[in-house]
Amino acid sequence: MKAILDAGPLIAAWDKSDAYHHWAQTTLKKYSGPYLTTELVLGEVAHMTGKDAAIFEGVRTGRFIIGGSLKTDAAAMQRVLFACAHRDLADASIVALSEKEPHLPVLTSDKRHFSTHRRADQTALPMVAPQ
Amino acid sequence: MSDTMTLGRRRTVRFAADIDRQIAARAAAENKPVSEIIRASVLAGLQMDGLTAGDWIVSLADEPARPASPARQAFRKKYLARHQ
Repeated sequence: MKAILDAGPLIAAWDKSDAYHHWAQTTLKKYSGPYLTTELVLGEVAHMTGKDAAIFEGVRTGRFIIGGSLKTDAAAMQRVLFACAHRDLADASIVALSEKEPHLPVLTSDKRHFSTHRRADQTALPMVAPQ
Repeated sequence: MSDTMTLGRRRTVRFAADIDRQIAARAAAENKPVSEIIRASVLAGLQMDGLTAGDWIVSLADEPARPASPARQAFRKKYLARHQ
């Protein structure tokens, strides 16, 4: 099953000390992919996990599909960023992606922040997050 | 039917609409014929060892990562404080 992938589940799946490690692994097995994501998200994951080679492999094999960019989604991302100070660029890229693929679930471990995010039509993201 | 007979045979394959869109978008982005995108994607799929993307991610949890610098370790602490 396809899904939009935020950084948190990927970081947690690859880090056994992460509080959401078990949740992430179970969720990723359920939403089997491929995963729509952004280079901003993958950059965050690479910085946090050091698994650069795996990220290259995931993109090369089509497991990660790059669904947007700063250039193509600039307007949507700026709107998200200006709407709330606690959003970062990677968050904004996920919201922009969800506006383009509104029916895909968004896998995130950041329920607190993502529950406040709204798309251009003011709908909430269809979020899959830890309880 | 042998593998040799299968190779080169013209086939009609129907894709779901979302897959069609992905193929068309990739072909446009890479300025390549649709057939080439499909061929490359099928080959990539065959090389995935039967693992879904989710299973593949989970399988990498024990793989070694690039060593973390002190700066990255400090950033991770801040990240965890923000997200958990």
